[in-house]
Amino acid sequence: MTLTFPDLVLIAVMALFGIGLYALLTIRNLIRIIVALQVLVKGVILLIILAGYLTNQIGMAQSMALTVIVADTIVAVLGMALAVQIMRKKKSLDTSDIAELKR
Amino acid sequence: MWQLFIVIGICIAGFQAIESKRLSHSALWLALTSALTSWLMYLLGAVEAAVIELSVGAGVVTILLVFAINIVGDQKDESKPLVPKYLAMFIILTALVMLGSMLIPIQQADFLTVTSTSVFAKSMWEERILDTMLQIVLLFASVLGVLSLMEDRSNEKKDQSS
Amino acid sequence: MDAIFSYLVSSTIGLPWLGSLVLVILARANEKTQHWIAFLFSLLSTICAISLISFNGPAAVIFPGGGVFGDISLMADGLGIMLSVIATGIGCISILFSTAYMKGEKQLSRYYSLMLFFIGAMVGLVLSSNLFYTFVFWEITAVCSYALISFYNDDPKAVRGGMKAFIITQLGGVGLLVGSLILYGTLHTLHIPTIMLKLTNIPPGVLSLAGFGFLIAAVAKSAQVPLHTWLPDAMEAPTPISALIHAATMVNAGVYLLARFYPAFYTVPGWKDAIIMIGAITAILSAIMAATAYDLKRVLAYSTISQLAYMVYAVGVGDIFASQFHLLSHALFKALLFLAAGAVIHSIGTRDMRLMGGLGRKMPFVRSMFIIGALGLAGIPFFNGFWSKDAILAAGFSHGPMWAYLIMLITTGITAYYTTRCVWMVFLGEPRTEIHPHPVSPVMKASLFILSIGTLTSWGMGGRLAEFFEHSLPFHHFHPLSIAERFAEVFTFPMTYGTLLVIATGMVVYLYIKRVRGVVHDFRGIIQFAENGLGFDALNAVVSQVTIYTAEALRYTQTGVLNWNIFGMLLGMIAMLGLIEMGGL
Repeated sequence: MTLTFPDLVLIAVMALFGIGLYALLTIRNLIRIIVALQVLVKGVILLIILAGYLTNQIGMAQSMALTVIVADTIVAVLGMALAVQIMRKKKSLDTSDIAELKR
Repeated sequence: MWQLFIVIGICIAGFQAIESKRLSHSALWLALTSALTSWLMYLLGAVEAAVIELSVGAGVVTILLVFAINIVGDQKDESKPLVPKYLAMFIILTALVMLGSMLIPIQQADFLTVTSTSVFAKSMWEERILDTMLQIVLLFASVLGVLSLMEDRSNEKKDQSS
Repeated sequence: MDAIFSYLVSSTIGLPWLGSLVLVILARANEKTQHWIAFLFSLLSTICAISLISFNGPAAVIFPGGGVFGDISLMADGLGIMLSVIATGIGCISILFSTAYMKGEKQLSRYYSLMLFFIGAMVGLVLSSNLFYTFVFWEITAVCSYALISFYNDDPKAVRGGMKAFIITQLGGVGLLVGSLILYGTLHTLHIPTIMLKLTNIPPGVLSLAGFGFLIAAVAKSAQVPLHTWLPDAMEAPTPISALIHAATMVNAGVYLLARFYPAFYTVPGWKDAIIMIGAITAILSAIMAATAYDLKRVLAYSTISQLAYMVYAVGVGDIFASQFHLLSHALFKALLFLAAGAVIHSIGTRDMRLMGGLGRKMPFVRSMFIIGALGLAGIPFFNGFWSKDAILAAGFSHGPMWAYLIMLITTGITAYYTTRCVWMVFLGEPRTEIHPHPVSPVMKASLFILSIGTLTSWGMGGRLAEFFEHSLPFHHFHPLSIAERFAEVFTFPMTYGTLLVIATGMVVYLYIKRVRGVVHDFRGIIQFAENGLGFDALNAVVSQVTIYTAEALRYTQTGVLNWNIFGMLLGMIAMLGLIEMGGL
């Protein structure tokens, strides 16, 4: 069995998914959670581009990927802003220290 | 098959990005992941998206991350995970196997020979103009978010000086 | 012709809604302006609704409503027009009554705008021939009912009553939604006439699921056992609201739904039997509760439940016309009773019947009006309640099971009993306490007078109504009788005299028991039990306690930790993937 180029990209996508999700499950530091989200979304973007490559609609796929990049960047930036504010208020970035909505 | 090395590179960089305990190292590994991903996108023919991914993912986000880490202090995160590691790995592997078993057959299906000439600029500015406008608004909102971050910083400086 | 028709239909719904908006905007205008603007808009919509009658036959107005659920189509057929005339007409009279009843209250604009919003939604509910929009209007009426029950929102009892009504009627909403979606899933349309035409395409099991979904909807909305407990608690609303929403219109929506879909579901095994059983049990239980309650409005509420049960029973035995005829009679005499009770409550400031007595001498006009309504309710000949109730009993005798007929007959006696008791305790007999009633305003008297005329004469429309139904409802198969024919039928049918005898017995029994205190003493246990709602309130409490404990137990799954939340999301994703892989989606 030989691996074609799309197969390789799919492996990369899976790896990025797995790494990102594992990090989201185990990491408690807010800044590192933002990094983990970035890794996860890299996988999503790559998958969209792969789909466009396979169906010969690379232009459409690129504009979709761009939307995802924009949304993700906004999430990252606002997440960082929040993290900075929280650090200032609580002197901690640990999610279990800052959970206020739970009883 | 030389692209295999890019894929391996992505795996290592991504893993390091989430595994390294120092925040600044994390940010740098993320930049490397982003760069390698955009290389793959370039190879897939998504030239414009690759450039944007490189400049935004590897550039802007990294700079902002370093900036934020600078504010909160470059700490070493030594906290223990709340979800047991093996449980996390197990559930993720389950999900990935299920996802992969669905994606692999799709790759070889026949309907993938859809041919349509789609140009990035056309689809961006004509077919999805509404989305584009919305993205511009969203970007503006995020700029406001960053501004709030800056403003608070200056206030704090004033507090410290007084 | 079509243009005029579509204007009329849209303005029957649109005018009250416009009025509701105007009143929101005019929230700071002076009180009198608000009273009369509300009245004006309701009067205009009543005129529109009445003029719809002249468009003899089913005709539809269609607005584009998007691709998924189909167009908004409003179909003016017999059922729809009759109910919209009731909704707008009683609404108009209630608003007229409110101009005196609510004088000097705060937040009038909220009161009137919700009331007008309700009227518009009720008309929409009965005219809509697309099930999705029927559901939307159905829920709007539920929201208005909730907001108006809790109108005095600083009174915890009113707030609790509103919540209870809202939650229980939501059960009905879920039933309607599930039923509609099941029909949509098999026929891919929500247009009611199309559904009626394509009924044979539905597999029997699916049809019965939809039928019982609609039955739950009707039971909850029309306050039938075991989901009736919200209606007595809804009596915390201002009295004109009780007259309009909780006697004359919204509670009829359930009966309307059953009547509308009778041709679709009557073949479903067990559907008619279930309806007959619910109707019979509800009728007798709520009549017993009405006979023991001491709160004037609660007596009327229980009697509303009981009379609604007659209509439900009539649908069960297959006589849609009798059911709708009784609906019309009931709307008139019950609105009259409620408004007269409102006049009493307004002028003496209490709802407890034990504190009343001998009020007839002080307010003779209200007494006469209340007695007219009470005679209609009891089913005394030549008042409208007699004709419609007799039609139901005759249908039950010839088409229904004998046990149900006997229960309904006994209920007639109990109805006469509690009606007599109510009239006696409030207006006749000796005064029990020193009460100095305020004079009843002429506006109140006028609205009572209009309704009493209706109660005295509406039976005369029976023949026309039947013809109208036959003409405009092709799926129901009515056999219209003219007034003379009905007259002959009623008075040659032997059971009519039996019914009258039972009614007379009921009245006499009250007058007898009143003298002999010992009898009451012997039944003390049962009376106590009936006063506590025959245990249904306790059942409600159990259900709500179980819900609360379950929620408390489930609270521990809400750790508030991000990682566990993501764990949950992943589990959800795996479940979705599994479903897709099994071909479930």
